[in-house]
Amino acid sequence: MSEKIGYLVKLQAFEGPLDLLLHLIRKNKMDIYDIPIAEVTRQYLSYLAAMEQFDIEVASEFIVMAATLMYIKSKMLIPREMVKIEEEIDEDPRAPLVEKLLEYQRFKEISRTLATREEHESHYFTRPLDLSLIEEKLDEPYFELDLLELVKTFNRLIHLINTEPKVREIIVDDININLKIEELTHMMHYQNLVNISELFKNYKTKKEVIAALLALLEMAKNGLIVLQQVELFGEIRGYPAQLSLEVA
Amino acid sequence: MKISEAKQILEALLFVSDVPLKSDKIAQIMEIDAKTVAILVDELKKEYQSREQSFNIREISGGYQFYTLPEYSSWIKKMFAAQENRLSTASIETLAIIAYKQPITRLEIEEIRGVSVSHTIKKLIDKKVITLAGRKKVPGRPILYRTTPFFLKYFGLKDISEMPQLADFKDLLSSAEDGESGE
Repeated sequence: MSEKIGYLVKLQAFEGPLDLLLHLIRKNKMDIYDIPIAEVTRQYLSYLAAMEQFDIEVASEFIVMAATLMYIKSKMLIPREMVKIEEEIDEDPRAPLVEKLLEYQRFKEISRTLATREEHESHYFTRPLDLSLIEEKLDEPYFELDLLELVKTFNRLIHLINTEPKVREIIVDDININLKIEELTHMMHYQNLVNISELFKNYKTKKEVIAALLALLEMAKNGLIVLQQVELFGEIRGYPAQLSLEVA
Repeated sequence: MKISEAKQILEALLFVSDVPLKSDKIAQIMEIDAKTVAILVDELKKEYQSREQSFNIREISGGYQFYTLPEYSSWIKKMFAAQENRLSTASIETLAIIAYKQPITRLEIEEIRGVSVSHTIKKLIDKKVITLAGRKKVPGRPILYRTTPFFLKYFGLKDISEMPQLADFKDLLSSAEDGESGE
């Protein structure tokens, strides 16, 4: 009974249930607009069985698709008239699946093109990023400061704030963004360049840091200042916008 | 300034730049207009080609940059001991969907791919080809994702419009709709 020997089974890896379905349709030269659901379901399930045999964990998505296929099959078995009463539209139960398959297939083709491009690009080399040049400010900010970096910086700064005094005087809440903008404008007028981590070190409360951060964002948005980060995870600094024109 | 001089200045600027130089930036520095920049770049490109230089200028991610020609890649890789570090099929599929449908939520991507993509998204963010693009104004406020300028550079694209056309995609879909309504 042990017929395990002599078989070379090649199990292709699939990206997901849609990938597997497309493969079955292609292999059997089926018409994607008129998929023989019973046959596809049979082959699909035997593939899942093979996966289990080879101890490959069958992802839940594959099982969901198996259920969907059987649902479609059962729907197609119900006489049309009956379906009509239940649902107004006389739609092919396979239609939503077909649409999904087509959309996925399209993106699969595109990703093949992208993979070719990636291969192609790997043969082109540029000058590696030279940070020493940037340090000397020969270059302007070379990438947009993105939200993710800003949030990370903010989190880091929040931890820097001194939280020791448990007992302290309650100060009247006089922090607001407009005041901070004024303060920062004044500061940049004299300093030209402000390192954000240094700037925030002087602040004692979370509220103040938040106000300062919002003030910086507001100023950047209005084009008063330029925020710049010279290297990944590096210092974020701000300087007056007119200065950046002079530098550039 | 003379054309030959202008070309040399442009060459010098491109030579030291380690990021794609935008044409208006060059125009601003050289005090000429962007059209002239394009002409000068073209001339330089032709010159390098006729001199059989090992490098040339390419327009990438909205700017110009010096690149070594592909035939020297094996030598350069040897020098840097560069590891081949390609994106996985899952990553590229996810990236393709984001590139066309951005900004897009994780759920919307999963809807198309039919599998979970949270791990893939994390890897793509680490690779700097995608980033966050705010939150969608629907219940749950899910995070939106978009591609970065580095994505363009990674695939050697001038801009997002250089991506493979989606036109035939629409054809496919419309014919699918015809097929449904035909019955």
